[in-house]
Amino acid sequence: MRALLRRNLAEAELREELDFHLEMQAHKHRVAGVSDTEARARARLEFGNVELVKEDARDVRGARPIEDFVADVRYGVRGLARAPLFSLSAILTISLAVGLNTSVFTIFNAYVLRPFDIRDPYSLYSLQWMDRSGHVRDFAPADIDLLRKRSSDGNDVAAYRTFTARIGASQAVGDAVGDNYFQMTGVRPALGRTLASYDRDTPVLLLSYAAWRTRFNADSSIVGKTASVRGAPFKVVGVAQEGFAGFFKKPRDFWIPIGAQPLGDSEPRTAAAANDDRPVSALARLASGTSASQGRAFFESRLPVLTASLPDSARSVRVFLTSRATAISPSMGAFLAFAPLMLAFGLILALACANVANLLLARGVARQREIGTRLALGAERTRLIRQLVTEAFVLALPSVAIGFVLAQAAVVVGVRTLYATLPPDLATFVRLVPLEPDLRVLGFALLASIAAALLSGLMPALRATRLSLADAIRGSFGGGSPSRPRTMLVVGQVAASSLLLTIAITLLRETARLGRIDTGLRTRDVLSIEPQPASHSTLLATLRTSAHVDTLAGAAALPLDMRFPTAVVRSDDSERVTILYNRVSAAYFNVLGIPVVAGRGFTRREEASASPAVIVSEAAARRLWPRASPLGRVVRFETKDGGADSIARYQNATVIGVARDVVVGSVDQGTQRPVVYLPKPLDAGACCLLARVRDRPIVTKKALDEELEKAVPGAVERIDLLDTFVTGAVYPYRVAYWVALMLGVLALGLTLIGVYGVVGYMVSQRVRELGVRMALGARPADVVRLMVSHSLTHAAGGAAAGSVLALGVARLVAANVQGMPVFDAPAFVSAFVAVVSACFLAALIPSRRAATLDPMAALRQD
Amino acid sequence: MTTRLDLLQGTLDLLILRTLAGDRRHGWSISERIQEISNDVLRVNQGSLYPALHRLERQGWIRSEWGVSELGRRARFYSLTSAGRKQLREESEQWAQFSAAVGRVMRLA
Repeated sequence: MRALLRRNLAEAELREELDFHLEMQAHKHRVAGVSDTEARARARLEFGNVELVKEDARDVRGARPIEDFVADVRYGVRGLARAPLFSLSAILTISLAVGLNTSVFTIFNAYVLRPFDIRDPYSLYSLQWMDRSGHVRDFAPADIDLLRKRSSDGNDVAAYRTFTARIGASQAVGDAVGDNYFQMTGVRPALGRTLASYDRDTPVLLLSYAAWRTRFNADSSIVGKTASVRGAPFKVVGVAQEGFAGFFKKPRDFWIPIGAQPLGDSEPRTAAAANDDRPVSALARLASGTSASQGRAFFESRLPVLTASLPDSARSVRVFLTSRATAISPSMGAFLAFAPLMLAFGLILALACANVANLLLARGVARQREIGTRLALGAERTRLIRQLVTEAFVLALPSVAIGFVLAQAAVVVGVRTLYATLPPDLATFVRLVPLEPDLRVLGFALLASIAAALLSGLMPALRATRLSLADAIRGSFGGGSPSRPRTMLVVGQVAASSLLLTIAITLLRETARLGRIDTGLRTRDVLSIEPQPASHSTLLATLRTSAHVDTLAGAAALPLDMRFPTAVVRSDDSERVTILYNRVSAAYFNVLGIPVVAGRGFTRREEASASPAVIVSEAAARRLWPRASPLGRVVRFETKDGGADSIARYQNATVIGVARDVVVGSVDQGTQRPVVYLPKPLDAGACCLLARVRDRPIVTKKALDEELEKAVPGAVERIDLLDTFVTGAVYPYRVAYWVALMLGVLALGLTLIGVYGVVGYMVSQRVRELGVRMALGARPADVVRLMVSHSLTHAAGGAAAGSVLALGVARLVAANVQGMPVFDAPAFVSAFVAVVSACFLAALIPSRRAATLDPMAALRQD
Repeated sequence: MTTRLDLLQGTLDLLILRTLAGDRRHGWSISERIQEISNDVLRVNQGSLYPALHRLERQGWIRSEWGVSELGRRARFYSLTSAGRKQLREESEQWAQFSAAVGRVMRLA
């Protein structure tokens, strides 16, 4: 405002100064005897162009660009207000694209850029070390105490150990933390208090704000109440500050003192009582002003002392510090992980810009008379370009606000949809960090809008001002081919949308394929139960007598969920082969419905004594005995030395049966991975139980869970329907497919608008020519064909370019995601056909208008 | 009628500074003064006078203030700043060297 006032004042002073000069000059002439009017006229004549002098003086003052800018903005706003339909569609197009991109950035920001709301977040690091054999390791609990004692210069370390436990009826993730954890990190309580050093091994619990809201309905009198963690009663002492859920990618639900961590025994014993020395992770706070490399040097100087007593290969050689200021440390990897998403959404922004550029180009053509006149009057080209670009800015700026609001709505809807479409059993495992927007997000929306303005405004501006003066004055604006850049834009758009659609259809087919995959396992009515190791036998007794359970089996690793262990085996007919194996009880094949296609299953006796008999999968049989029947043959397990869980007794195991191939691990890994099954008694305490239930699996799961919780509190770590793992494995593909489809359809929509506009424009440009053709006897159908065939060529070219790009992308994806096809021909073909035929329709509508032309009227035009 | 010369590029600034060395003046009187002293040989193009004045002011060599002219009208008066004086000294010296050199070449070459 002040700048404007000053501008007006300076302007008035300049006028007064020049007026004074003219007056003096006229006075001089009057004194010489010239008449008054004559004197004035002569003074003016001598002076020359007053306005030009003013301009020059203004230029000198340096205020010119600002004044021009203000004038341009005013001019732009007025011009756009005169064309409300054009302005509205341009603003909405950019807003939509900016909004979508901002929503992706909101997520990126929440995970990678936004620091935790605690004191000096940038001095928090995860601390790990590497031993001489290259293993990255955590610490023994005693190491942390020693490190703390030796860290006198302001650096501090706190231990934590992440574990899952059931709190009440549902699964929760929490950290058992060292007694200085909260004092070191500076997390504040929203209710009650955080954990303190005097808590040591008392069973107290701090809830995360989100867990307090969702699991305890934001109960304001929660402090002092008791919650059960792995069956042990814990007193809630507080709720952590809003928005805080740990320093990691996966949000935490609760924190307890590390000494009070329940080990899940039938007689509740705490970690402290059991003299627990399982490894712990370390969080470090560096003294203020200490850089990461200084911190690393500090810990590198301390660690060798701690590991001096270990065998040579286990001594510390390096220390790793990972920033814990944000949920995901902003590394190259983090950016690369987000890159595909950002590129795909960025493509939409580019498409939207192309559409707006197209609109501006069309407007530029309509305004060529105005622009030509201004050029003829001596306006500089740069000045005009600046003005046209300013207009683009005027268009783009409302998009900041609209896009920002749109982005937040998209994030909310996206999260809701995520939870609504997740298989319900999986929903309890999925946790998101808070996705609130902040100034960075607003800044991004601003930058995206400015980029959009430049992208869409510059080319049309350059184009519109490249006029031949002579042509402009003659009123002929046909010079050059103004439709060429527009056609190029549309070809680019067609390429981009066919790229996105091809990816979407490939993903759709992949999702469908995975959904159709026969796991070979009976998952519909089988529950997997993971008991606390110590409660295994009591739980088994309850399950055996439960009315819900039909058949019961045991396994060391769960099919569909866990990684099976590997062993190196050899047969007489084969090389050494690394193979997956599992230890299972005799009923395993029956419960999961895996047919034993040759030989027989394990007997009770074999199961009980874990005798050296094995069942191999068909794939394993093919691998180990390519030419002969495996039955009665010997598998030799190469044993690593020692270990309690040794497979030493299977050094020479006899094959007694062959089982049908089934999915092992995740569904997308297929059924062709070779497996060897070893016998294991049902009541041997390792891992998991599989129970086939009598009916209505979902209801029964809940009932059985309650029954077990009543009989042996806290004994069940997890209980899941096997079907959940199948849907869970397909789910990420489904999400990717939906996102790609949404982007693809959006891209196609934008493209069709572009095609429609360009063809419509071409028709109106060629009205005279078409009139001549029709007057000379061309039928309407010929005219339509002429117009459509032209755009069809462009569409096909663009779609082909898109397919080539998609092929590149698919190669990249296939290299990183197992099971993704490199070239899915039906997807490529259908995307190509869809894009080209959609373009055909979009071109047909305006072309038909050409056919209805009255040749006489067309010829008389202009 | 005497021949009138257009000003050499860059000499206008020097002439303005020199004219203002004595007393403060407004724009019209600067151009009149230059014309008068040079016996009407040098003519200041009004179109370049005012931009030049504003430029010199921006460079801090002259300052302006509003005052009352000899005819009783409000006018903007310009006067030298100390930086301007220094600039005038330097430019005068350069000018003297330059014109002497040109003169020598014209006589002897």
